[in-house]
Amino acid sequence: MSQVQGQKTVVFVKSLILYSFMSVGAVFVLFPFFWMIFVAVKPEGQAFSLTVSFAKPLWKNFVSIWCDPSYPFGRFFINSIIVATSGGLLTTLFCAMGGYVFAKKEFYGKNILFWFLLSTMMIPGMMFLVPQFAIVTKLHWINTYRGMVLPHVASVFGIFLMRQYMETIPSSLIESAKIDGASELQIFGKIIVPLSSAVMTTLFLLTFLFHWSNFLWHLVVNTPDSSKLTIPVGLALFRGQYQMDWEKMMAASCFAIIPIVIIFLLAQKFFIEGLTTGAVKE
Amino acid sequence: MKSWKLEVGSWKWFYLLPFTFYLLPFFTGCGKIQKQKYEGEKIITLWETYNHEEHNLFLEIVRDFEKLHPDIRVNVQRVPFSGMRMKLMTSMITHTAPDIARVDVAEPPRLVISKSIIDLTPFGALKLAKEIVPAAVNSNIFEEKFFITGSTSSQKHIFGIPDQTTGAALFYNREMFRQAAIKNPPENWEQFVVIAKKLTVDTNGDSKIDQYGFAMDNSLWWGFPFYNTFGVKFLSADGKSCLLNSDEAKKCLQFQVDLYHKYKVEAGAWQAGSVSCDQGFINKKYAMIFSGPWNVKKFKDSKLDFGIALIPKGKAGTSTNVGGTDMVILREAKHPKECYQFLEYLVSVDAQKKWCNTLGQIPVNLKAYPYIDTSKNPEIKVFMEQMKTAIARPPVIDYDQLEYVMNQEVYTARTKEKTVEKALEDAVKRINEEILSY
Repeated sequence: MSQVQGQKTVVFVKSLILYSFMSVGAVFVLFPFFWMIFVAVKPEGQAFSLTVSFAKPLWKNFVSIWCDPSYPFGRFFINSIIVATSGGLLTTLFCAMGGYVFAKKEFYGKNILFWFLLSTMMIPGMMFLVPQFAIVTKLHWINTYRGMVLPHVASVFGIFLMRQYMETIPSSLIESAKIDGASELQIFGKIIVPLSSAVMTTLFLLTFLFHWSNFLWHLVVNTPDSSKLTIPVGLALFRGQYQMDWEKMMAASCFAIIPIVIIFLLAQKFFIEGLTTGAVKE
Repeated sequence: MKSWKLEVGSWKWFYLLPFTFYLLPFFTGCGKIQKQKYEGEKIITLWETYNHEEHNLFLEIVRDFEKLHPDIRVNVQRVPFSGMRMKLMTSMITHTAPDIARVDVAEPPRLVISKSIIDLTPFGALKLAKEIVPAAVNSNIFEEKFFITGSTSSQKHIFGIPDQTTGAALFYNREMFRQAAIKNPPENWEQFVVIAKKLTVDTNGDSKIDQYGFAMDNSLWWGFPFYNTFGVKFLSADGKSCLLNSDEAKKCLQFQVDLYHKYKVEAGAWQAGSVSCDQGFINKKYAMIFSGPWNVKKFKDSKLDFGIALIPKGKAGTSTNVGGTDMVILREAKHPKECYQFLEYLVSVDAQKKWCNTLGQIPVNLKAYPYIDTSKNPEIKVFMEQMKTAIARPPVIDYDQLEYVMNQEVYTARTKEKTVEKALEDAVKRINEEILSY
């Protein structure tokens, strides 16, 4: 009896320690969100004031974000949704196809080409900015969704991620499908894609996040009067030379994180699975 | 066996419909705003980086200008301040730059050297410059030898017009001054040290200092009030060598170091991770700081009882740093004459009156000074006075690099990692090699 009691105490203490650490971690993780909401409901110019005061009405900053005619937040929001979703879908599709070829097809120079592609990951992204912008300008894609999304669709990281995962899919499955008369497209669509859904979801989320928070490219590829500006550019408008309109910026940020939160909540199972599956080969 | 085929006419095709509709605007560019066309008018495109309040007022000023010049239309476009340089650079590469751009006061040297902006001297801008706050306009004036390779001419040319100017002054907490029985803010650095010592106290009796007389930032820009009042010259007359190993510079940096180490009146706000000057001032931890007009509203909103005074005098009197922005006309501007007309209007007394009285800012036009209503913004009076003594930043192409080098070297002196002499010698060497050897 005393042994059982002792075991229970050990489990209790372990849980207590674990939950204490997790609570501290949770506070660290959640504090920025708390601060964001807290500042968003403060009056103008009071972001850093230690005195606790709230805007009157409380939602004043939220309303002004949506109702200010000189600040088309709704348009920024819709543009961000279109760009991030398109970017996520197209990147995932093309990277899945690329990854499949590198994982399951044999062709001359495959490995050299793959390592060459990987080596381009060593080049800082900023180096591509001007050449990509010059190409987009030549194609007359300035102020278009195409210009914002297509240059980033071929992601070497995405191809690498897909290839690593798809290598773990047994080749016998593909051979069986071929015997059953499946075309290449059908093999890809009916076997590879369903089996890779976890890692594809992960890549979609990472790409969505990349496009959702991409400031520089969206700024450069749009003229300031463009109707395609996105949320990161819109948020940056709150930053002046010496001042920042913290309250409105935080109010806008409260809305800006909603799609990210929803997508992560819906896909977190796939996301975690996608990151860990294939990590260990048995 | 399960069919692999997606047959025509199958209901499964309907899955593709939402996706098709979704991608429609992506490939057709749907949702484009129809831009208004102005027949027979000269259209100027202007990129600015104002905040919301300033932007709306700027549009009003633009409308006033358009009423006076019905043949000119100014197409105002907002760019985030933090992205302006990159945006401008890429647009110049692809010939999509605007006619006029609002740039940081540190940008003109780089733009002049790269021949990205046009010389405003032929339009008579040097005459207009005489009406403008000297420190603000001087950052736009360059001698020929600066931008023409091989030239030795000192003839001056002007490449931009300041639209906004600002600088630091001494902010002090009146409540703390009263508690320490100090009546007036310091007028010179000797008084400053005496007063700062009185204000550096342990308020709760735990033998730890919790209120400091002064707090200062580490950056070069915030160091200019010191350097300028001590009469420090950064560059030689030809701009080719750094003079920061002078006696004045050594005395100036030694004074900054002493505020922390010897007099122990400075809070160490220049150290990474410390409470910033603004925040410490709001929290009543720092009695005196350098700050600018942009913080007046914030401090007032925080219910602080504070005053603003001129920067204490040194050997060279009182002086301060210069911030703000300039309007420049880009090389490929289609209507440079009309662009200049707009800039002229922007700094006119009428426009400056409207701008400064509404926003509580410092006018760039000295002729507008008498028309500024200081009853609403009494603080602005001090800044207007202070700006008369401000000194423009050293005209180097890469001001950011100058800041970088100086911040690093000054930090080593403040932490006593290097002596003041060694830190300045190293700074001079690096500035000569990394910045002035173009």
